[in-house]
Amino acid sequence: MSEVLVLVEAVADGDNIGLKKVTLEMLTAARVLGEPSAVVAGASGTAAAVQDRLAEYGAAKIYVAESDDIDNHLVAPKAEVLAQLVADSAATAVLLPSTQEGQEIAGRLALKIGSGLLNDISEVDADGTATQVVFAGAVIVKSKVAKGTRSTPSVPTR
Amino acid sequence: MNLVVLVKQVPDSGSERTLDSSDNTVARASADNVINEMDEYAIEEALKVKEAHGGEVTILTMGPESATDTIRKALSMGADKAIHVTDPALHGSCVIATSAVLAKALGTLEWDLVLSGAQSTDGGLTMMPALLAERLGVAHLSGARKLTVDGSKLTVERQTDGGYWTIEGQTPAIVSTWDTMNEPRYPSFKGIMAAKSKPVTTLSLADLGVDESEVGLAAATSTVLEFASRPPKGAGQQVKDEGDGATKLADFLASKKFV
Repeated sequence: MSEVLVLVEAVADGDNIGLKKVTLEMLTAARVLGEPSAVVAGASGTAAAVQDRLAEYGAAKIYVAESDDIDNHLVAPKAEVLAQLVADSAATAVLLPSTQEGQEIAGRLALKIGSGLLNDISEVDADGTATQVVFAGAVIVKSKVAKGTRSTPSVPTR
Repeated sequence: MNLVVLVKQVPDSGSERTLDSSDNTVARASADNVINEMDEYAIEEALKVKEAHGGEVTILTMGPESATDTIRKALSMGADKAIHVTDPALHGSCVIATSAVLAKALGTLEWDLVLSGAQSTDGGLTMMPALLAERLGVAHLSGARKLTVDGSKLTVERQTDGGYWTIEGQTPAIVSTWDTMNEPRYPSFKGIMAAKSKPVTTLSLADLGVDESEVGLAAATSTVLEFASRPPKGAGQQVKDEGDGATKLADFLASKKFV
């Protein structure tokens, strides 16, 4: 079964580190495409706090890149981590949250790995066909990546 | 400080927008096209930086010939000159190819700071400044609700969900602006008249040294397979209370898995 990378969106609330809901939604969407691998890229201690929940929602593997350099910089180190993982694994798709940061990572990643991308998808089928709701909800679009690994910012419930 | 502002012409978000059924690209020819409203904040900020630190503001646009209107609007706000990248082969280009073309166009200019809007209201992408930063190897300070320029040092308050972060970078850099950053000025009558004679340089793919095979619909890294207008909302179901109204409502909620 093909491997699908999911970039974990963790959120710190005081001393507690939790998962943003979009992470769980992406894990669910990733299971449609293949076998989800969660990618934790952030401050040290993040993976330990969230790994049980990630496994519960279907992450078969968890990649961990924890460093102050990741936590103290904007998007570029996370894009580099994902590009390395794509190069070193057999991943066929990458799912990211369609936030400002997620989109910026997705763009940089797409250039690094020579892949197309789809933005703001609400649903994905097993063959990679994605649903996007555009023009403030007036038009529903079905689209697909035409080149390379799918690098897909995703908010499945949107 | 020389500034470049990325500006895009988009179909007016206030009027009906759709795709062109012949090739599934954004219907631009039939649309009421306007300047992407998010870009006006970037233009305003560039003009403010110029007023405080000197230099020149250049508008950079890629788009069909009709985008001239949008360029004139930007010039009438006070920008000095414009570059219009236009070529029939660019029709249907994906965001990745567009970033390659804009990066080449930026290479024809001497600049310290590129400003962009938060996103385009047609493609809905928040990605172009990040793609250009990656291609050009310069810093990207995104989501700015405030920008301070001190020589080559840039300080930005980056808007986030829960507040803001203060981030720093050095020129050359790209700053993407948030719509809380300023209040874009209206073009004055004098500005509108002056815009008519400001220089606009038109560049084709050949001028930029980009091969036609690298851009356009055929080379796009993503494909729109099909599209449909959202179906109109149907009439709701009326529940008449004949003593069993509560049961009917509960059954309805149970059937939708709410309870």
